[in-house]
Amino acid sequence: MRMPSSNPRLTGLRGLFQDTRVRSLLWQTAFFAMLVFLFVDAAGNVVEALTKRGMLPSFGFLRLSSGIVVGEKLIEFDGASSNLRAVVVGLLNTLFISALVIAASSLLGLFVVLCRISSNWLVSRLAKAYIEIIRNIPLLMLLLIWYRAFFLQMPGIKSAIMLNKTVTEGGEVGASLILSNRGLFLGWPVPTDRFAVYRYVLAGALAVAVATAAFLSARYRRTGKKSPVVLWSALAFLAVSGIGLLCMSGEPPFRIDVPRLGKFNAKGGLYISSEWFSLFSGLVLYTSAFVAEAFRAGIQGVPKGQLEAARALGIGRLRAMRLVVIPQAKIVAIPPLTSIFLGVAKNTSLGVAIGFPDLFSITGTIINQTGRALEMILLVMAIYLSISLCTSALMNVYNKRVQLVER
Amino acid sequence: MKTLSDEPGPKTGARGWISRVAGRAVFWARTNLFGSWFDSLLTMATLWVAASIVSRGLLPMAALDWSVIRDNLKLILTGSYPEPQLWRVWIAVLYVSLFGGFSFGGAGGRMPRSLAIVAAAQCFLFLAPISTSSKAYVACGIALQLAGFFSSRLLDARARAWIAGAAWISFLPLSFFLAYGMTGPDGWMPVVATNYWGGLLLTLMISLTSIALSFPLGLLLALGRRSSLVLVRAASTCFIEVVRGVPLITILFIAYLIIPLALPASLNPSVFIRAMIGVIAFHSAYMAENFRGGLQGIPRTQYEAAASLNLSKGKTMVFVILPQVMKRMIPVLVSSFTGTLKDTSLISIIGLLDMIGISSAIVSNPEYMTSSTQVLVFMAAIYFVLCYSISSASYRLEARLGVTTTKAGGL
Repeated sequence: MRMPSSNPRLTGLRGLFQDTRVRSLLWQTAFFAMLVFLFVDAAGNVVEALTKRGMLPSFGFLRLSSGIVVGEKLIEFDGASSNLRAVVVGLLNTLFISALVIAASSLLGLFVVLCRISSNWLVSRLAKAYIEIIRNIPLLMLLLIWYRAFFLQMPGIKSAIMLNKTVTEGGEVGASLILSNRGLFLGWPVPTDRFAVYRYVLAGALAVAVATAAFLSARYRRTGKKSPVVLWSALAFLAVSGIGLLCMSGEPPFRIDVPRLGKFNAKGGLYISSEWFSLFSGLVLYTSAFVAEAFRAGIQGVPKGQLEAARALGIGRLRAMRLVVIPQAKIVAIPPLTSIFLGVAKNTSLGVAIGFPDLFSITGTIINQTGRALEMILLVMAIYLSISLCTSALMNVYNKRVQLVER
Repeated sequence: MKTLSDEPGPKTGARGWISRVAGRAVFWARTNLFGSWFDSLLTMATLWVAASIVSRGLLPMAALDWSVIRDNLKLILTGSYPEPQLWRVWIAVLYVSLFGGFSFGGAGGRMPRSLAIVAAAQCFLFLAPISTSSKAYVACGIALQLAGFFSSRLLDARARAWIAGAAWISFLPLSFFLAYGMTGPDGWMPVVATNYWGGLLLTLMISLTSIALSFPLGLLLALGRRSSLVLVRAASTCFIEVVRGVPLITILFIAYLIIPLALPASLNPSVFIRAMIGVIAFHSAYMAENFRGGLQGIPRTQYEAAASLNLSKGKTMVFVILPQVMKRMIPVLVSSFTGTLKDTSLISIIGLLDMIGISSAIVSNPEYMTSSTQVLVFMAAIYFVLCYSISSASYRLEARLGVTTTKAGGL
């Protein structure tokens, strides 16, 4: 780098301009002034346009009642609830479906990548075809195919597909599974009044599980003997709660709520709407292909010699995979997985195309109802940004832990 | 995959050939499909799954009435672009065939497989149930492609590179000019406003423009993010991170709803322009991250060597760093084109009639109400063919340029 200040010929005003620090200051001032000018100009135009419509930007409308009807909600919501509550309903839907999609697509992606790296030609080719087809079709297309070409083509409620059909005493037709173009109804356990007693059993089961975990980790510290802590404590929990359930089988704490056919729709049981299921299955299929590719890149990043060395030590193929290859593959696969999982939360916004009330589609409805486009878009962007930041922070923590384990 | 290369072949003639091939096939199946009892079981189970996919999914789908595609093909490909003006779109297609053949000739003809695939695709297009005039255009395209292919072999490599480069760089402005037109309604080339563009034409126009413009913008943003000027760096980083943190659909909504408010009322951009701005802003942020990766891959010594030659910062960038980055970026550019193409499908949500928008329009016609499966599957197939060929081209380009940017190679 040239140092003009040490050059005796360049003094005075010209020398000042040759000074890198002064020049960078000037450039930055000019750049900043341009940005500020553009911003002020744009903001002025926005305010002017909004004044003409008689609504200056404010967030007061969030407290007003929304008058929106939302099909699926995790919290209480009706037309009288506020717009802010509608946003929360959408946010919860987005978070809930994202979490389920991430879990399910990781499992499916793992299965696909196992097929993909299989030495069986047919299995590997089929997995490759699956990955290539899914990755080369837009997600929106996939969702629409699921929704319009699969769920909306299901038979109507009158001729719905039913499993374990029964007729209840009221003359209603019930089944443990009812599939129609309205969506999927499943038989589902609901707590009865005896549940109050069973709650103590559950608390006891939890205590036993915690005690098991504490005992196992204490033994590990004392003797160095390793054991799958989570597995054992989960088994303990299941065992205690299962025995409790058996003891109460005379008056069970749960009963199965069987979905029954109504005139226009079924009712009862667990209801999964066509929209929810289309969005879920479309996202799972789409994400799993990318997850599988990330896993594969990780596995292929591990040198072949590692597996061969493990096999030479007499370790079985599966064990070598689990103990030698996967731990190393994880390190390579985590950064791409982070961006894939970040994408899931963003991709749920495509629910707007099939009418699933996620964060974005509720935002769209509120904009239509109130005309508050600017405020709502700012709000929704802030929410998506914080989701992204939280996810990437979590993944960074996990990444650091994995990287440390390596050493 | 193992093959039997050292198998002795004492028999000659047709029978010998048959037995050799059969022996090889049996050996191949034994090693790749029936290696162990578990493998055999897996193969049988997979065959069963594949058979049920074919019999339950593909066969019933093939048995559907596909006439909806034939009747609406023009709508799917070009939207409501006026019929008498379609020759302009065809000219752009012919231009691509001519220079596609030309660039292919430059590749030295070492790709017999891709050549065969392209030829088969064109024969299929020619035989498909399309109008006679379209068939004439397809035939013309094949002829031009052959002409381009053979004429490029007559030229030396330098001239070929120059002509191909100039042709591809001028393709986008030329196709815009062709599609938009220049004269009044009675002239020889009347203006076709962008709200008449639709279908695949709209998708391709928006994604090509977005790639072409987000490339330089992304480079600027990436350089801004690495700049020593604090304000420039902060502004670039802020833009990139905000855009990457939110879904594309929110960016499109900003473009759709806020841009008309933020611009002076006299300047009312069409939905097409707004969508374009949104898509470009979105992709330039992602492109900037690609460039940042490319810039980080350049060793420090390159900067130091340039500085020791007394090159200024600007000259170092233009003559030393960027040429190396560009070489790495070509495959990335090609493969990010598939992403752009797929993302562009979202413009249907703000009301533009790209392929997905058109599909809703077709299905809302009572005559085709039950045909949504056919329409959607056909469109998905178009997307697949486009994206798959582009991504395999990018792998090949990567191999030819001797750079690896993606880790996932073939098994």
